[in-house]
Amino acid sequence: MKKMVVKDKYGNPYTLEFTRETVMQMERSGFNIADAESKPMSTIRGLFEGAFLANHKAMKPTTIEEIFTGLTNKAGLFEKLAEMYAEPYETLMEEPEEGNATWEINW
Amino acid sequence: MGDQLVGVESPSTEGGRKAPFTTAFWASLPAYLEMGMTESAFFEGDPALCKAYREAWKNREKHRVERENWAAWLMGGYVYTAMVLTAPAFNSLKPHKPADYMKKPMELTGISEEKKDDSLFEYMTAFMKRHNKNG
Repeated sequence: MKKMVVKDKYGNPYTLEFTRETVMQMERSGFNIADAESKPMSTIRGLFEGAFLANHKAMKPTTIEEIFTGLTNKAGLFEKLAEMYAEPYETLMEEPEEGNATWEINW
Repeated sequence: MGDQLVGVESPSTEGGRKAPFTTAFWASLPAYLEMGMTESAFFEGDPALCKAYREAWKNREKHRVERENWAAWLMGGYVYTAMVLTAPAFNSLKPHKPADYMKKPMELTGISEEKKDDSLFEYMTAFMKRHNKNG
């Protein structure tokens, strides 16, 4: 399972991760990863908040917001959170043992 | 009544919104339940567990096919033996009384995989020798 540990300003660690249950909870509350292009900031906020559901369900939104505001490199954070968010879905799919197709990025 | 039992939660949409992951999870759930995964392990457990369940399922299927193949081969062995035992009765020139069928099943336990082939062959060879001596 892909996990991320964030620390608040007091050094308290929080383990962030996604399960299928928490992903469904997020979708129930209206979160959609496809909105990342049109609403990047609310999407990253939603992802960050949702990542607390698995292990820190009782966290106050204000505390989460405080931690989020204090974090740097939000683009990198989004990339990793999106990777973690996709894991519950990706692990349902079979990886080809020897793929003969390739992909590349050009940005 | 069936509608009341299923569809508690619409898998394709949540409150009219699109929920693509939820849809995929519910669509995959029956397959994983069949593999022996519990609902809580599927939804609340480590997502990567699914890979292990798939791997275990593949191994189980492979072993099942191997066992079935072995059972079919063994059945062939019994049929072959029975045909050999009854063959003398079908000799149109000099019919004989068919030999008795085996008193007990062939000994299989304690025989290594490599020896399995040999055991039937040895049994048949011994039978042939005995039969030829008597005839």
